[in-house]
Amino acid sequence: MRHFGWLLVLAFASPTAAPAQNVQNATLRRALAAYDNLDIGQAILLAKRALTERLSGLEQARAYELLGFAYSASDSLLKGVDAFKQAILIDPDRQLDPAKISPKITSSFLLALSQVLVVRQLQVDSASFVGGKGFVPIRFTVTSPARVRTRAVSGATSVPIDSSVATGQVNLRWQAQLPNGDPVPDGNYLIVVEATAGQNSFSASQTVKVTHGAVDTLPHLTALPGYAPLPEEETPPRNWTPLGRVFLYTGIVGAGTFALESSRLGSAPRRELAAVSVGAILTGFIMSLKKPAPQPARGNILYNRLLREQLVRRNADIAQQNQSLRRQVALKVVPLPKSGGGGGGGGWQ
Amino acid sequence: MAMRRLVVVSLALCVGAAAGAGAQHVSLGVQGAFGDYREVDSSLVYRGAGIAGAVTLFWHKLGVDVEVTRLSYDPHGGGADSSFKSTQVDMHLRWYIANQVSFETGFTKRTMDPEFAAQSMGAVRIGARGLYSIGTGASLSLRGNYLAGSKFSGGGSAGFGVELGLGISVGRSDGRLRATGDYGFQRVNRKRTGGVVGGDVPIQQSLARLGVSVGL
Repeated sequence: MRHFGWLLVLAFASPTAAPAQNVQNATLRRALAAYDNLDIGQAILLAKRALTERLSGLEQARAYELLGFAYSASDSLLKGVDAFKQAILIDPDRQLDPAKISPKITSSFLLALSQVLVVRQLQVDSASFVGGKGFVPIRFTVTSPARVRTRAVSGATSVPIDSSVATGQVNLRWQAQLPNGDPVPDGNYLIVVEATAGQNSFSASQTVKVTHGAVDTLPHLTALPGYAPLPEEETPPRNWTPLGRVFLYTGIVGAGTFALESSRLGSAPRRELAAVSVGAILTGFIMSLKKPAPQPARGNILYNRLLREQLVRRNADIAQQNQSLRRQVALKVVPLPKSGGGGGGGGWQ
Repeated sequence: MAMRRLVVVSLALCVGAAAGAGAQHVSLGVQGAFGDYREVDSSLVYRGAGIAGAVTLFWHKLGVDVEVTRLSYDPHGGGADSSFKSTQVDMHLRWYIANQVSFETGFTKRTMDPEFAAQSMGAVRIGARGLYSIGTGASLSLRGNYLAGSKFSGGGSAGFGVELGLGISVGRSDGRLRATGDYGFQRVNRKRTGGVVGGDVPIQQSLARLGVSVGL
């Protein structure tokens, strides 16, 4: 029954943490192989021996993690938790996948996590914003209650970001401003998170690069969106008014002539009137057939004038906005890749 | 002689004013003219043809036309047996009022050569003219005048004198070159004096002028 439990634990824990190929130390490789072969005793022995040898930080964390797995699998819970604590202190960001690791080992790991003070998974997101109008998101996890101070350090400059008592996931917003409200000068900044609880303390850091740029100004408008100017001249529809008018005036003159002629002088041939009238009627007819000349459209002219005034007003506003935008600074914050492993020193709680 | 002086002075005044005015406000025209002249009764009928010249000037609301028409009249049936030449000077002075209508005044003077072949006459005209656009570069004018203070070479006066006119002008919209047509009808009732019997002597003239004008 006891062996069945072991098999169950190991079945869940089979790919312990990472492939053994990355491990340089031969003893540690043998220990990992022994664990894979369910030789727990041998795995513990070889892991302990490997720890006495020269190991890199990651290999040390790997050796302690293997011990944690092995002790937890062999029901040595306290030893397992201790081994996991060491692994976490060396590599605070170490994480177990609960879907792949047995609940027994996971619970030992979580117990170890709650007994140490570390700042894990410090993450600074990239951000671009106008100075004073945006922020850089900063996230990290504090494993146990502690006074957490976060600041940005660049040379002699140290800008406080936050100070509070926290545990668990912490989300901060850094506005990248100096205490006087000015944007921080460009350069590389170390975002340092320090957690202190009594005698214990732990710090983690992330380097970010802050660059300054000019704030985009608004382009001037050449037209109001959605409002097109209207034609200031409109061609009236073709009509017979010219011919009608010619007929009317010719008729008036003809009737007047007829009425004013003296009966004593006989009837006049009226060829003079006929000549001019025919010319006038012909002109009126042609003008009626011709496309009328465009006429000023008063309503459209007034509308366009309003539109132009609006455009001038909007552009004046834009010019004013651009004036203040030119005084602002666009900040771009980009996290730089970490050079090493985990954070600074720590202690037991 | 007096007639010539009048023509020369009128033309000189118009050309002088034209020289000082804006280029678009002056036009010169030349026309062919033909007319029908009747006097006393239906036996004295003359028809003739000739030439005419016109200067037009307008400045703001003020406009001036001076037209000189020279016609050779020949008898046309009836009892008339001698031809004569007629020289007519018309001056129209206008002041724009509103709605295309202008107040018009001026004078008309017609002299005959030989002097007593027909009645020479002169009168002052008072009336109105309407000028209406009937399309791009085309306009139609209508005028009516009362002829006051008529004088005649054979003496007498006229209590009644009327003039009607119809004009058409079409051409380039800038007014540089236009074809013009103008019709004028005058009717005057001359009252003879000096103990001559017969009462009124009607005088009637129809005149048409067709030609071109050039804007300066």
